[in-house]
Amino acid sequence: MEQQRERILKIRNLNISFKTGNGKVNAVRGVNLDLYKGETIAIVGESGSGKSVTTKAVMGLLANNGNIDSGMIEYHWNDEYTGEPKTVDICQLSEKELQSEIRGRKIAMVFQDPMTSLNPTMTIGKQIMEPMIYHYKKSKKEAYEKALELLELVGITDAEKRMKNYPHQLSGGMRQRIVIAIALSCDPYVLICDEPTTALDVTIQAKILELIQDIQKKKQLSVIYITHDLGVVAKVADYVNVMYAGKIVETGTIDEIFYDPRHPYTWGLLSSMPDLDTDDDVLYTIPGSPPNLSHEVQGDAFAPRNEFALNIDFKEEPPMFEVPGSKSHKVASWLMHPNAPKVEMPESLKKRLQKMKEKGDAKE
Amino acid sequence: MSKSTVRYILRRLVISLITLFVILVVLFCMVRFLPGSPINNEHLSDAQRAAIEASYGLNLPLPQQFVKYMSGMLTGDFGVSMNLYRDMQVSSLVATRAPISFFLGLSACILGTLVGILLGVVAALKKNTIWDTLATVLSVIGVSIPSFVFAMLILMIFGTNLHILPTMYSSSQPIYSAIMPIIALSMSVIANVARFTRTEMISVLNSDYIMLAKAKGLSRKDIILKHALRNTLIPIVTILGPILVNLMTGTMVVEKICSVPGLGLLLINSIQASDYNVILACSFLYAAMYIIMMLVIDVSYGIIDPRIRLGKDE
Repeated sequence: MEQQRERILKIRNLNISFKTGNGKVNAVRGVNLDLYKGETIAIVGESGSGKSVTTKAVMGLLANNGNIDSGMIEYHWNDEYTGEPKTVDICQLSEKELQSEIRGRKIAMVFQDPMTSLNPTMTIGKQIMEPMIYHYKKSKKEAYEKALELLELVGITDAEKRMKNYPHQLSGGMRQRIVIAIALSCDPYVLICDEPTTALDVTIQAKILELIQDIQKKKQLSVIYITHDLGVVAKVADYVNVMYAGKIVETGTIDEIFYDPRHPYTWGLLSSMPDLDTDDDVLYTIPGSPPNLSHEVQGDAFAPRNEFALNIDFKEEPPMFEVPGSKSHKVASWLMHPNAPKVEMPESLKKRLQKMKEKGDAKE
Repeated sequence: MSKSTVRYILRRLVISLITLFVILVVLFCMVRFLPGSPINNEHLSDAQRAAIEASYGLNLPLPQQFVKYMSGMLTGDFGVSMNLYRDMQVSSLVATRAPISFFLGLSACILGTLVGILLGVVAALKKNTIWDTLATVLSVIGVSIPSFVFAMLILMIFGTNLHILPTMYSSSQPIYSAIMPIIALSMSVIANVARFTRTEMISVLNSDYIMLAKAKGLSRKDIILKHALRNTLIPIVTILGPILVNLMTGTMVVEKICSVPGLGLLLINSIQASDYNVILACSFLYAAMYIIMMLVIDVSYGIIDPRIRLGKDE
């Protein structure tokens, strides 16, 4: 397991703000993130936590009023011909370079709503062929052949007929497959999936996730999932990053986050997951709402909603503490400080995680 | 064109014919109920007047007149002018004037649509800049000022003051003298189309599929030309119908001001003279044009927007 991991993306101290009518909103505040070849990370958090903004920045697709204030997004790859390792900071690239080098070609994206993310007036075939013709100057015929291959890869039968179809003639699940095919058309190294299954019905969700996993294995892709659905995370991710108010508050392997969560916010997220075998009548919700990021956040942004908050939480921002005995598990909470009082996760959550673990073990 | 499209067009044509017939009946009656008569020379005695009326068949009962008119019409005979151009065939009157009006209206429409789309696209792409403001101001002016005011302004500036363009239409220089009315007519088209294009383009540019096109790494030029423009243009076709109708009614006044011997001028003059057959032919032509326009627009939807396929597609 511990072979040489090849790092593809390295995000350090990323700060992104948006100019709005109500002043400057600091949407992303000092995010650190690593992505290795062939691995899957998930970014979890509620709406407005900055998870989408972070990945949009990776693609250089921030809205016009957005600005990367500081930090770096390093992209590593091996040159296609010479094979020598190369590094580029995406934050420093011009729009032109982003467009011709990064977007679609090295990093591709699958969007949330397949019903609206395809051009309604262009045939499926054209939409898949377009990036290949554009980036790799392929002939129409070559691009057509590749598009057929891609359609088969994403599990679409009758590929030749589908090439001539328009998006409205296909179902939501099929459209999402098409969007995935488009994303794969230029053989990217990184695939960003922004809530890829949220808009699909449950029976299709699992199939799309399996498809992405399948392709990931075949093509050695690195995948970033953005989601608020912990069920999806449990199914696909190797590493999980929990984001809150523009910061990553807990990061670790999937087992560490699901079976040994340390941050009260992660506890809250896990507790608020709907669950069939529970005795409770009410679904737990985290009290309060996320802070307004157009104001300076004093101390820990989660403190006002945190029943375990310490005095220091309201004064000073917690650094990332390493969880003893793990290289990957890190938590931004003062509770992890050696001098902090010992706080255990809520009893009900403990039981729940225990059950999940038993189920997981039983499955394997 | 698929079979179902052809069937759709045929069905629409049949409905159009029925509509046209109803319009003709209404027009025929209304024209007869207008105050005044085509035989309005004050020097005529009652007997002379009755004799002339009888020669045009105006003494017959209304239904009989209608049947006579209809049967003539079906053989291409639209009757003769009773007053303005004494005893001239209406069909030849219209035939000499219609091309001028069509040319003016169509040119104004094409010019206005092209310039309007250009302005709207520029405004949308340069949203919230000076260009956007400029385009918006232009279109507000264009919408709020009627075409005949423009006609008079242009007439005054370029005709009377600068002597660049002729103040009166001259058939020896048809294109040269058409410039002024075309510009006057196109102003409102430019304004309407620009305003609409801007709104539409902005909403298209914010759509998910444009985001996907960006994520594909396409250039800005390709995103706008290949993805945004077509989706922007679809709703524009919707407003082109009413705009064309506007142009038709607009031509009457502008034709009068610029003295263009077109259909509009003929219609106005014939109404003033109660010249029954001429009024009927002109207004019937307008109605027919309107209905055909609507049909063309409905069919063109299906061509530019694949989501709309006319008739039932298997």
